Amino acid sequence: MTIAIIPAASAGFDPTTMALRQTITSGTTVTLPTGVTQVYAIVVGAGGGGGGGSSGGNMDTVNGFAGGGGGGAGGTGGTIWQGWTVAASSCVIGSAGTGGTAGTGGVNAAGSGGTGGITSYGLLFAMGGKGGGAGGLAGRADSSSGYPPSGGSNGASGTTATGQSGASGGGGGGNGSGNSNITGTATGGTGGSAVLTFPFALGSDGKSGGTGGSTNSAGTSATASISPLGFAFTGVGGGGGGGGQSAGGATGGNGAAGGAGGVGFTPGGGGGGGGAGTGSSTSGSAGTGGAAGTAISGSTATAGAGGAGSLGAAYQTATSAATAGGTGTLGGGGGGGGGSAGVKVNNSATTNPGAGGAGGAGGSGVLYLYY
Amino acid sequence: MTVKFEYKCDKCGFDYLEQRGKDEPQIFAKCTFCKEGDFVETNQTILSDHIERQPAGEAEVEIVPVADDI
Repeated sequence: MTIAIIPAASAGFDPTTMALRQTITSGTTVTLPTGVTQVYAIVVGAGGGGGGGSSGGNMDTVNGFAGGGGGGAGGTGGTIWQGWTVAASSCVIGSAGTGGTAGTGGVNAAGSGGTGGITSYGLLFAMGGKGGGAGGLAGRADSSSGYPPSGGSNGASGTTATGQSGASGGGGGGNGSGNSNITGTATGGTGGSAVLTFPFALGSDGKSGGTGGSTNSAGTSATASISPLGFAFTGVGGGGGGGGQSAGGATGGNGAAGGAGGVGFTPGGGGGGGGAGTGSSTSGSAGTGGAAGTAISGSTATAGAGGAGSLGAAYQTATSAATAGGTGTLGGGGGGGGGSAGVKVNNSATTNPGAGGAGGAGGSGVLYLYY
Repeated sequence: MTVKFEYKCDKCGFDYLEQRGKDEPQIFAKCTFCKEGDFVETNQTILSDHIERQPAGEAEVEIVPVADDI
């Protein structure tokens, strides 16, 4: 019986000279020197995009205050697979997960981040990271409830996604209020569930977004995710922060901070901060964006930081757009976009808030070749 | 546009290749073999994005059978 030994000395393998000789992030062609029949490859899936931040609430023909939008969750880093494989002359590099679209106009919900593409080479492949969930829509008061308005609705929960390495939910939006100061809360989206996928790439659960409104809270920070077999070391994205409440008081509620991304060979993106709530005289503070996850030693991948939320503005003035999430590289996850602040109105004029921050794109897949 | 960048270490002479987008930054600037020298670019080749299939007999990847009996 003939058994092929990998690595095979007859194929020219020399452990004294083995090193990283090629790094590929684009294209489909792999060129190897003649005589190289097996290589040791690290295959990295593309990072997921960050979720978009929601815009703050708007007001149409009623007086009142609107809540801040929730921040988007960070995208998860791409999964990793490595080992010996037969040499091949082509590869597939996973496309980066797209960043989620920002919410605009106070009524349009933001979009979730896109899933990163699969990277494959020879006998190996690695799945892309999942995108972060979108921020929850802020509550608002509108003329449909009559005058004086009875108070805005709660913000929607962030989008929940599931994936092989877990995806984060978005932050909940803040609740708006009318003149009657009705309060409420909106919960953040829950993190995606981790599932076992071939070949044994197990991620940890995604992280939940923070609650918006009167009990607004920060998005959940991610921690390192290591598979039981040690092959996958993927950072999960942080949850988005909840949007601030606007209850009609002198000072608006604060937007909550986004959660930090997880550490990994492919780190996770940070969650976006929540937008501030507005008050009759003073805006609440904007939520800060969550820090990008950091790469472990030996990895040069980066994740995007979460974008910050925006502050409230004067009466009948559109609030500023929130900050977009940062972009990941080399399989890292994108950051979630921040939520924008809600507006306040006292002369029955239609006023729209600034847009939420767009989610950052993940990093493309990577192929590292050692021989 | 995909570009194949070829590098050589200015200390140990190790050859290294990065295949990336034209505008993407260099990933490894330090030598991945000796860890001391810097990579100096020696050549650039623009690649088409479709899968290239080289004619038989001219492929740069030569699969050599491993026929050791154990």
